[in-house]
Amino acid sequence: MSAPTLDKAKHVKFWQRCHKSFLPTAYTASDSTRLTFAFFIISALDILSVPLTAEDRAAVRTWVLSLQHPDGGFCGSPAHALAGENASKGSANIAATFFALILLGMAAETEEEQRSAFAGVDRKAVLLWLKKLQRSDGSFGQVLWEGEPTGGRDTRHSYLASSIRWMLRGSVERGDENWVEDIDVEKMTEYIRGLQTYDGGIAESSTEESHAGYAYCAISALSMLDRNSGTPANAKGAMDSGIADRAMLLKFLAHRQFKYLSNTEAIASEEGSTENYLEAKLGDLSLGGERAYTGFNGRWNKRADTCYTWWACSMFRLLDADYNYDAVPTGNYLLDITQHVIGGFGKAVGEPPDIYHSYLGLATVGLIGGYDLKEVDAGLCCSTDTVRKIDVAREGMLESLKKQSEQRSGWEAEDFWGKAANVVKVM
Amino acid sequence: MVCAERDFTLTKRTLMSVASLHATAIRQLTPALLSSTATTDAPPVTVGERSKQRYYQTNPVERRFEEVGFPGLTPAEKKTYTHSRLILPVANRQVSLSNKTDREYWKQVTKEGLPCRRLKNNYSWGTDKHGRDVGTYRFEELKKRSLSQAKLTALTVLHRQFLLKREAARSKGAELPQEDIDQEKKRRQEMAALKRELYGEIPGPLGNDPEWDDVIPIPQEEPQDALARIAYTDDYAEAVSYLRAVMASEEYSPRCLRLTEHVIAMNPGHYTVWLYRFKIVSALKLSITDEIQWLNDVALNHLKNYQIWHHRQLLLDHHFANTLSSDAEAAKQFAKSETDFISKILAKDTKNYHVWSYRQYLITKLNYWSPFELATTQSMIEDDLRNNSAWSHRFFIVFSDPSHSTKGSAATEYDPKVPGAILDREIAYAEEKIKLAPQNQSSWLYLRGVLAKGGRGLDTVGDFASQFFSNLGAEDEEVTSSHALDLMSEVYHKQGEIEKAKLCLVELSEKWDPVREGYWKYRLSELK
Repeated sequence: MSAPTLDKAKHVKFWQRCHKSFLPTAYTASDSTRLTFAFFIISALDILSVPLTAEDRAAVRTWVLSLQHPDGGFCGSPAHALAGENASKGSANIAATFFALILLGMAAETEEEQRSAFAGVDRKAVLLWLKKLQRSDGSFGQVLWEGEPTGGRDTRHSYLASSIRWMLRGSVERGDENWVEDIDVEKMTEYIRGLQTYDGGIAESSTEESHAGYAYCAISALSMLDRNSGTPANAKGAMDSGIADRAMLLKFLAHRQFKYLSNTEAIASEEGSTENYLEAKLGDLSLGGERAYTGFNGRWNKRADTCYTWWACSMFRLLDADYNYDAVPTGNYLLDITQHVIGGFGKAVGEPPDIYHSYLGLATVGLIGGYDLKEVDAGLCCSTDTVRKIDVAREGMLESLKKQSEQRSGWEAEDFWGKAANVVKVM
Repeated sequence: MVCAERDFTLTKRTLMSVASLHATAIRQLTPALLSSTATTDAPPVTVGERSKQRYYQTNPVERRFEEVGFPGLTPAEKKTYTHSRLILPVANRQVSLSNKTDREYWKQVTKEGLPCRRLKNNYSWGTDKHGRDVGTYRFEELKKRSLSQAKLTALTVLHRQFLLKREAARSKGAELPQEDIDQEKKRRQEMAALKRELYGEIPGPLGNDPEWDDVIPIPQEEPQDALARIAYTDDYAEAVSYLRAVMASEEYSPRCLRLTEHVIAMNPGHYTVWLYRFKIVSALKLSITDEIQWLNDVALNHLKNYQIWHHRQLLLDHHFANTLSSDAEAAKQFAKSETDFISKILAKDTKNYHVWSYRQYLITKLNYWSPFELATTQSMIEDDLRNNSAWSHRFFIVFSDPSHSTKGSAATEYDPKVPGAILDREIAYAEEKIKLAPQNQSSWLYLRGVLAKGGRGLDTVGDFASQFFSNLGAEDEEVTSSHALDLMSEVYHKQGEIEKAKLCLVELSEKWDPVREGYWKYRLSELK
């Protein structure tokens, strides 16, 4: 039996269709997260190495920047953004801001474009807004409403906050002119530390049900705090102080996978008969030449879902624990079971492809490697190529800020006015 | 040019004047000046063809000029062509003459029959809603279109009269009679139908409702190359443009409440419409129970939506602060009706994360630690032993109840405040369920969780776990629960029996749970 393949051409077609034509009306229910969808579309094309034209890249920049809120952050979609004097009545959203920044990096091609990818982003406003989104317990809201952070206290917002901070903050020291008051990193880490549940997983709070998605966001939030933070290699990073019990967490994660019984699951799915994954007979080693599949779920006993291969496998990468899963049967599950004939991935067996699962399925295949896709970064969920561009953009942004402040001090310096006075005298 | 065409054809009157312009221009030509080719043309079929023919009719020699150029014209044609051009600056009042000269001039023009009014070439009729050039219309099609346009104009006049009348009435503090408003509603429906027919404009139900006249909608604007464009329905696009307007003007009124409902029905994931709705409910001091009632239907229709439960939480907080905190009986009633609804929704979707989250929030907020909760988890676990959400809720009910637990105790931390009897009860419960389904992850995890809370070692359940395997390492090795092996590897390790501990992990890795081979090998490497 030959190994299953990624039908790259079909995926390219699927994403190009998403890029160039209207999404079906059913997506109206996701109208508030259009920036997120834009990220999925552009980033999928990036992972598939489909180059964008100069016009397309310019359109990404223009559109993303048109969603920037004057008081910091980016609005989730044009429905939430207002123009002109009403602009401040729009509402910025933490997820949208995260995706906007990555898109700006992604849309830059030449070295010069990369260096100025964040030009047009009001860095100071975003960072101050981010600070306002943090609650006193260390958690983050998703939207400021009447000046207060609102929305769940879950780790999704911590992850987004820590990534935005990484992208925009750079290594500016206190005392520097471009230093902006930071979020409370210690409180954030402490908050995440307190979310581990009795089974070793991570949930919205330590008393709720553990969930791989929240766990990913928690771990990723910590890892983004540690990413080129300039702390010495042997220093205790956020990853160490933010995870209460690593062994238990690994156990929780290792158990997100199970032997996926392709035949019986397909039947069960058609009948809609069960909420739980079907257990293989204990100790049944009779693979008998059948292809092996590993499915992943987000919670104990639940059924397999494409997106949890991403949340779990990328978390293994962040925890430096890839040995916990076998890439081959995992890839088999995605390529044989949820990869769709028209391109994209469905949520589970027999499901039509949707943007969300199609993206995370593709990203996982890129993460696993070996299928002619760009390498994928486990922390920012985009190509490492884009992460490199964002790194350049960070440097470029800080450099230009430095230049600006030098210019300012240049104008103010006595020397300058002295020279100017001389010029006037001569005239 | 589309605008020009509309201007020309907007009213019957202007229609007439367009027609007379053509007619006059033609009349002013003497037969001799008419290009011979124009008269022999087949009668026009479309509006555009007629325009073209009239263009040639009012621009003598033009067609010949196009065919052969100026040098190719006969001397007479050259004269006509030049003269008919020379007269234009004066005819168009670009050059002003004295009265006397002016009279002379017109005398001459009339005598020679020169065309002083001429139609321009390539007249654009504009396009219709399908993007079709109106110039390709047949005459009867144009007639129909022009009639619709005239009808729309007439309705617009009446509509403006209504607005003026209403303004006058309102300035005196009065409202127009319902009859007028009803007529206006009907009129707007007709206007909407005409606008749709003519221009493809789709004014939705809000634009047709006089109640919304004072709101200027703020449509969502975006360029052609915007990303992730969605094929919005017209209804949604209109509702959102009104929502944007009332949110920007911070209006909190019953009509806005209805509008939020409309938008939520189409986009329940809208992250500020819910906050706005809550603001309206609190500003108008609306009944929280009514709002909850409404929310129940929405929740049943959108099971996976997160905002619904956040909204419910805000309502609970609000209700608690205003009423429930000072009325224990009302609080109990409310908690009861809420848990009833939650049970109803969990019956449809047993592992709904948001619902379970809200349930915890409710219990904590209203201090509703009733035996009923424990019973609920029990019956749900009996329905499905592998329902981890129910197990997780049970853990919360047992170990977060302030009457017998320490506030803020971490999930895996020993809590001395938990009575031994409760620990015994929970251990027995977990063991009973494990026996029913030895391979069920949830019950084993629960057992471990209870032991940690009680500060009891895993070895206290060593005997229990050992019943799920026999003759480990031998030919006739039998295992009925891989989780028992995992637990025993830890027990043996703690007891210093490293080889036995290793054997458990090796058997898991090679035989009983090979899907996690890498994990068990890592555990092996950690054993010292």
